Amino acid sequence: MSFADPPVTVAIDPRARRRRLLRRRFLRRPLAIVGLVVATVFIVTATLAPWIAPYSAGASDFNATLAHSSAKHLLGTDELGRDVLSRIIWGARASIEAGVLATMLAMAIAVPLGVVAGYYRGWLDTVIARMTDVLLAFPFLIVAVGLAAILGPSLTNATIALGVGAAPGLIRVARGEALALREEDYVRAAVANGASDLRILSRHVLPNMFSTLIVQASVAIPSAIIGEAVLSFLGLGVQPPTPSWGVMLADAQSYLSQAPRLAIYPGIAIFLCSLSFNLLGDGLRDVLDPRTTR
Amino acid sequence: MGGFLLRKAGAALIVVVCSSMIVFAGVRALPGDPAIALSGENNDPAVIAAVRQKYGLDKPLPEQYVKWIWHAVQGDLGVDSRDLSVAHTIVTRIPITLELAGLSVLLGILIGITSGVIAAVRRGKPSDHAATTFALVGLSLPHFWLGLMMIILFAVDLGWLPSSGYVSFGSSPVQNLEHMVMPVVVLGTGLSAVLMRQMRSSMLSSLGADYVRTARAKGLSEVSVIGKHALRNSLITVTTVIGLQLGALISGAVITEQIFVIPGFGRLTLEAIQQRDYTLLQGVVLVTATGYVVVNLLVDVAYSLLNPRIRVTGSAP
Repeated sequence: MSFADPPVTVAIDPRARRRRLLRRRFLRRPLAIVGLVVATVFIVTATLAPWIAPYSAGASDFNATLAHSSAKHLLGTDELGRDVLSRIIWGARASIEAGVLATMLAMAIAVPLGVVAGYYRGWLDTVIARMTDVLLAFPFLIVAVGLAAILGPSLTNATIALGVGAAPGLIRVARGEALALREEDYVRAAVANGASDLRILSRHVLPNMFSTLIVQASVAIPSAIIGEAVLSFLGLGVQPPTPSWGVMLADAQSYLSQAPRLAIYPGIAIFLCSLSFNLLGDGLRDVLDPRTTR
Repeated sequence: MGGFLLRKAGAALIVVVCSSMIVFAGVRALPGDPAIALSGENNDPAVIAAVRQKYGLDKPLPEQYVKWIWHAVQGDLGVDSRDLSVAHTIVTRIPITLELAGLSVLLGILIGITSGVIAAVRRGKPSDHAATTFALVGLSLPHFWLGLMMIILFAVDLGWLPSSGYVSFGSSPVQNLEHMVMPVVVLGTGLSAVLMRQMRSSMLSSLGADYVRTARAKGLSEVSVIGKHALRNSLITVTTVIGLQLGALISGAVITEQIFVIPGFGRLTLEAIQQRDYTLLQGVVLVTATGYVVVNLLVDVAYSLLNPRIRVTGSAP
């Protein structure tokens, strides 16, 4: 929108003020900060795995198989003498990659569909709602199993399955938001000004549902992380010898009585990683979306 | 009410039909020729052609689809690669999973709703923090890992419970329950975390509502205010959540049955994939999708019976 006169400049830019307010609110939540820090540690670990991990993921030491923890191997070794700590560090890659990419894929599917359904309503809404119902009728594990069978098991296909599986829920959220936003006065004003649908959607509707989407994303990431572990555990995701927490747990299953620690450490990694994103998500929800404060 | 039900049932039917098309197309998209898979070791072209004809694989796809659906409606899902009736296999496996899922839902409701109500009523108190923390941990915990940990503790170390397998209730009720304890805890606690959060937030909004204030003003006892007014209205929302959690429950059953080696419907799904058994896979996925839609239709009906406002506006949120 352009006006003949430049708008009166306010002493403080309202966006900067809002950002500062949100930051202050966030910093008052210690658990959310812990979540942010731990999640960042996991992301950095995954990115820098080649430099941080004491050993390469596949390096086996056949003189020290199923070894207890020692100075040489902090968390011990597995049945092939591979360093467990190194494998957990390398395994963070698959988890973070699946968690983030699956969520992005789900968003890419869900936001356009949800917004179109909620904004235009009518028959489009009905068609998209039915499509969502159809997608929902297939549990994500069934979708993943099917995809793995059609395309072959891999991290990419597991990520696609997780993304498609998470989409229906997000479509509903995006639709609900668009439905509420289209009734807002500023949207009506834009319509009255003759703004095109594309402009209204991109300038008014989408930016206003951004905070809800951020919160949804931070909740979707931990469930995708757990989902990746489940799929890799079942042999439908990351393929050995590539390390992944789910693969490590699957391998550990044969040594539950001999070396239970092999099953304990990767599980703790999954738990901490998804807990950190959940804490972060809860914090963001409180900060960005105070209406739904639990 | 009749119109509402009819509309809901119609929508459900459309979803089931679309799902069946996806299942059919998906199974056809699998790599490999089903006729070769079905003829097993025999590579003789004549045998393969005979198999193709026997299973109707030489017909055009739409005709195959219509034929499949026509038989499926009559309860005939064809025969698998071992020449066993798919419908029969599914019928024998389903009760095992229904027992697992039913007990898990019971446990989930018991823990989830109780702790959700307590957390909401005692908002901000230690018991609220304990319940909220429990739910957060429950949401972050990979439940199949919890299963492995329980096997290590209760089966390997303490020897209290069997680590895997299944005994039917008919042959030994005690052993049946012993085998079910760990799987039910694994599957049920996951559900309880979701239900607890939902219950807490809807109880909190109920407790702040006018009718609760009125009930208190009338001098009703706190038990009756919470039990009769707030709880009843919160349960309505939670009903829908239980229906939507069914998908997670089915996925959960697949992995739980895998860990505890329970020969249920979930393991059957994985077996169908591993053995590339097309007819079986088709049947299993169709039953899953139909089951999901039917349960959610029932939830919608229950929801509309509990909440008359829905019937008037005609659409559930």
